[in-house]
Amino acid sequence: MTAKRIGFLINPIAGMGGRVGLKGTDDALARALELGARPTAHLRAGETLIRLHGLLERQVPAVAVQWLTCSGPMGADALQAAGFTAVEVVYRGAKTTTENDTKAAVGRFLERGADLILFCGGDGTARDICAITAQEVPILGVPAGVKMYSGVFGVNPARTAEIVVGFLTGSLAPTSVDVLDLDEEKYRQGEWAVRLCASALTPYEATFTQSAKALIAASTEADVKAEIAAYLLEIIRDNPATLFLLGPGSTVRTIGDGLDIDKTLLGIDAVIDGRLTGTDLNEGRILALLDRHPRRKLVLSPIGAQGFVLGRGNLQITPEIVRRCGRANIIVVATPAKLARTPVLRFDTGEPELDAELAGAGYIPVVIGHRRRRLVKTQL
Amino acid sequence: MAYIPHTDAERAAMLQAIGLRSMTELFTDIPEGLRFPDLDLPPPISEMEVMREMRSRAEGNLDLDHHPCFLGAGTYNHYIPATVDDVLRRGELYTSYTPYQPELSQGMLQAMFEFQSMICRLTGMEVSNASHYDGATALAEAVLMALGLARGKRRKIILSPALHPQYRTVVETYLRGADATVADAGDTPGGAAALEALLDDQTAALVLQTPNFYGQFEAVERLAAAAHAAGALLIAVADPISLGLFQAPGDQGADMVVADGQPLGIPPSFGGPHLGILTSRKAHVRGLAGRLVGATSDAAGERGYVLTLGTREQHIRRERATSNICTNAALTALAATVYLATMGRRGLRRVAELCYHKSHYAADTIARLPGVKINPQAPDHPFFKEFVVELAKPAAEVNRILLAEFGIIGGYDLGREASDLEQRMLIAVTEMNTCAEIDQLAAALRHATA
Amino acid sequence: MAEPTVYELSVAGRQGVDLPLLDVPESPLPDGLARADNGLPELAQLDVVRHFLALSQRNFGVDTGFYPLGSCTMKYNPKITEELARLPGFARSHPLQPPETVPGNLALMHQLQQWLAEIGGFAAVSLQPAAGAQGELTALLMMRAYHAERGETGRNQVLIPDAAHGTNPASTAMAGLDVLEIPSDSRGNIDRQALRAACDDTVLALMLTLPNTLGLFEEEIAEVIDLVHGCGGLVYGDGANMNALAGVMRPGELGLDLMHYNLHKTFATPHGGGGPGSGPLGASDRLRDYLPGPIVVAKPGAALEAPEYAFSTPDKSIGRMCTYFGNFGVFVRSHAYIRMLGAAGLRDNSYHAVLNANYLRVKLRELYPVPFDRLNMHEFVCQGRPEGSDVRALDVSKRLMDFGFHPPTNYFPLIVPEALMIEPTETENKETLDAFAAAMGSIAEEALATPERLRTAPHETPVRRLDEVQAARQLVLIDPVTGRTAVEG
Repeated sequence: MTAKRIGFLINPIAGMGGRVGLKGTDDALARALELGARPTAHLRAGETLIRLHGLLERQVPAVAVQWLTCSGPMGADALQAAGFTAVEVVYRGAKTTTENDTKAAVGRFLERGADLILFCGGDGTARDICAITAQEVPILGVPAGVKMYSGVFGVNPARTAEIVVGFLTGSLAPTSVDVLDLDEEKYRQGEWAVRLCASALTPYEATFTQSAKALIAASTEADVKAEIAAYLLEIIRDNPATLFLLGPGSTVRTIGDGLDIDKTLLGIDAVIDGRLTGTDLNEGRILALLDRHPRRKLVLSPIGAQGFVLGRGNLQITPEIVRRCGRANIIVVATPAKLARTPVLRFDTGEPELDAELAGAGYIPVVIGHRRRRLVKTQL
Repeated sequence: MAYIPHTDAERAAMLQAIGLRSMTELFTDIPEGLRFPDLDLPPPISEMEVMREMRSRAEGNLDLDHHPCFLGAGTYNHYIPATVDDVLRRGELYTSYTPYQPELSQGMLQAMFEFQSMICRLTGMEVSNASHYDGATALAEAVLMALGLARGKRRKIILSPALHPQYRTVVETYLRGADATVADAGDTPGGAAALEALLDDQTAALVLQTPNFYGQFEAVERLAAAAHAAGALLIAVADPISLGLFQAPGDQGADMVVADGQPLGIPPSFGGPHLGILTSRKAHVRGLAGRLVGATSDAAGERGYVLTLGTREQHIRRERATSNICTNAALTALAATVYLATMGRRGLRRVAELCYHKSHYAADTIARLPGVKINPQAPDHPFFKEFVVELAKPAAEVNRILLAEFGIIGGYDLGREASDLEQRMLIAVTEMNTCAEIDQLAAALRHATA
Repeated sequence: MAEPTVYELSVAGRQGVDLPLLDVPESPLPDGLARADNGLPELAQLDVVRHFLALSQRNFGVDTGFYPLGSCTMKYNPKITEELARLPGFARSHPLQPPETVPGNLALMHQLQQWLAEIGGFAAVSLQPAAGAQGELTALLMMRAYHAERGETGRNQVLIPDAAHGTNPASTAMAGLDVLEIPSDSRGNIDRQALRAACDDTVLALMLTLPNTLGLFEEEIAEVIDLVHGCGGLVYGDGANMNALAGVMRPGELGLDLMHYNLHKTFATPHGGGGPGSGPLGASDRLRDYLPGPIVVAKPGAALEAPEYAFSTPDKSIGRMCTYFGNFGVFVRSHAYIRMLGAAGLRDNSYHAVLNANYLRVKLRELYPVPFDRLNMHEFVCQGRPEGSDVRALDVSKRLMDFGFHPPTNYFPLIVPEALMIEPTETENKETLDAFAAAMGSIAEEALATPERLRTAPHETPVRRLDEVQAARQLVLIDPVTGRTAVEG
């Protein structure tokens, strides 16, 4: 059996801002150091790697791993400390690490045929890596940053190690998830401005569903999304005269795959009778479409963890659009795994009365499968 | 109470550990007014007494051990080798549940794997599930599966008029939740042309029974070709005993074969529990309802078995195979496994031969009676172990005489299905019927219709 | 050592049973219909007996040891009922015999219908559904028919609490209806505010598992049922957990419209390695006419001491759910069980089932967190991850096997992470519960000290942990071996 190649890198400064009350370290490293922040990412990385080493030693049949990494604190030190020997340093960074180091290192990993990129950092690191991997090679994060809204992180170092083993043995299939990031400057000023910045492949833990009284079946996140999409496709097919406005995110994008159209990841696209009639629409173009189509449905997926259905990542959908569509015509979709880390749904259209109307009686139905909805709490 | 082991002292200690003083305090969440009703049930009795009471009740029935029986119509009196019940009474097997924990369930899992293997070879199919409730529900699931495979583009199901009437009604009940129609082929049993005429681009599946409800073989190859030409699937309902000797629908082009496995070592038991058999082509395995057992290896590389493709079971898309089946018929499937292993290649063939020759001898003998017709619905079609006799009198009346004067349980009165068939009787003959019994039946029929 | 398969044991020319010689003349076989080979293996009788005995030794049942599989009620199945079901009058009677030749069967079925109706508090019972899941489907089809008859065809939503049984959504899909999941509140009850938000004129019914899969009895049950009835919906009870309630309360008196019973759980028939079971359905007065038929009715006019019975199909019946009358052999066992226990015995069962479950919860809660730590019914849910460790419920379960116990239900209900759902049943004694708690205690210690011992468990079973991924990837669903033509060597 040939060894799997894992590209490994640590963003050594990830997580430093949080300890000193900053909301990220991307642009404020100097300030963080000034405030006395100390690097912690290597500790989280070490925990993961030691666990992974232990798990791999006991794996039957044996699983071989070839590591591709960066010099010193950006990777090689931690791998060595954890006892790994098949380590090749393919990138040597400068003393202070930057976004460019991350991107350059990932570029090297890809050249050397990495099967997976394991990194230790936060949303910012994930964003930088995605810019290079472009959905071709799966990535997985050891949570070590301040902000970890993206779907690429394990819940803790130990679980992350188990996911790596799952990926190596083939039991966890890669699926497409959203990568989010905050605008850190605005966030430090007290404004919560999340952006959906990309989607990435990641080995995803299975969703457990009970198929019988004591039989739990595990399905992949991709299967669940496909099931949601299949249901939406039926609705689209049954309503050929209805305008469907499809919002951003990877769950909604799956509907586009089913229709065989190229749905944009970050934009709002319009579909009528299964055909794409507009992509990446702005407010004006959406309003123009609404003028022509009295029947309309708005399909949205909340942002993971914070649960914003409107007001984050889809500002094109203005209060006027929402009002003209009407609450009854908003279809919210989300996988059960996403809802599990998203306890409440929120609306922030900028108009409090509209938000209150959307939140309804404290619950809204969310499509979680084929002909299957769940009532989820809303919060203003 | 023999089934509750607690002594007074233990009960007290356990309540104390929980922090309660009395058993009734365990139920404070239940609305007070509804707690502890007086149930109108007979007073308890001992095992000894229940045996006496139940035996007396059982002995009030006529049974197939004490009466020659020519009744079939879906449930048959076949020989059950002693090996079968010997295995069924192993407590490790019959007091276990669905093998969710494979390391503790290798016995049941391997038996199910062997069941799947033998059923596939017997039916000529590629995949079998690990059992269904009975033949009719297996057929209903096969029909839902065919609709699922058609992905909503075909919504018509053609049921052969010679399908067991109860199978038809079960399929109709199951289709209440589906967006589908059942096409009626009129009452032309054995008429392949009538079925061919109903096939069109809306047809998801054509359902045939072979041997059919009247015991006769259908033109499976011809109808499979016609169904495929129309883009539809062919579902065949088979008699597993006939497969010991006669061609398997799977080898004749059927896309799914279903059956009731009761003839394979399961007593008639007044109609249940029986065994549903559901098989398909490998290409459709992910749409197949019910449990599947697969071979794999353990952490030390040893061979073992597990329930597999579990996610299939909860794919509940309208256009995918849909099933909620959970508890199925594992123990009767085990009976069939032991039966098939015991009978084996030559034994099952022999059973089928005995059924074939004895039923033909019976038909020939009865045909010589005055005013009697054999298989009037299709006199030239070959049959396996069951045939229709048209009598000069209503079958119900004849049956009463057979029983009252000769102690014979006669054939199935087709008048129970349609009033214009009241003079027809469906007679089943198996390896259990001796030549003497058959001769006695013929004599009794002569007397009863005179 | 793996046990060979029947095909690996097969040698051409062997046979497991001899059959009688033909005593009638042979008839010619029809042209072109006979097959050359039916593909079955060939074993002598002793080979068959040893093979299946070896398989039984590689299996674990209630007769082997403690089997606390939650929501499955793995209680002792009295041996006498096996004897009774095999009496020739029952086992060797044909379903299409004229009813007057099987008076014992009809009387037995009628009595069982009456007793189940009495125990559950329903107006009528059909014995037809072959298992609990089929009972659910039957109920949904009946409720659909009920609303359709009233012209309320817009009712297509089925409300299912997230602590309900997992077959409920699958049954709903089969009935062509939509699922709306209702969350639980912090005490493990249905979130009534959410339920209120869901109740409108699209609601067909609420499916209520009673007690729920957390083992908890809905504390505001009357309000829950009123809310659904108030919007015109029906309430269906999933009676799979009736082992907590039989003799203690009659669920029908709460106002449930329908409920299925699991004879293979509450009424002690063996689980058979996964069936056959039986899932009779009880109906309130307004739904009884929709029950599947035939059911057994008493003939009017017969003398009280010699009642006569007949089969009859209710007026608006949805039809048949299976051939004949349901799993009669299962009815015989449950009938005898209820007859032996009587009302007092059934109540005693519930008392002790609930006592055992609470006792075990109290013994385990220090080691394994119990998220809804209040008085439970016949089962409870804890988390299979001892404080401070990172093992998984599955690891704890596999390790339990080494201590001679069958694991509890894993990972359900889904609302509890790393759930272990434990149902001891009333037939287990205190020593067994104490031994189980002690084993769970040792495992909790191992989880911290030597977690690898858990992750690589089981160590003492006939096979080690099995590779389910491989099974799904490289599907091997039938034996590739087809038998040997002669003994090798």
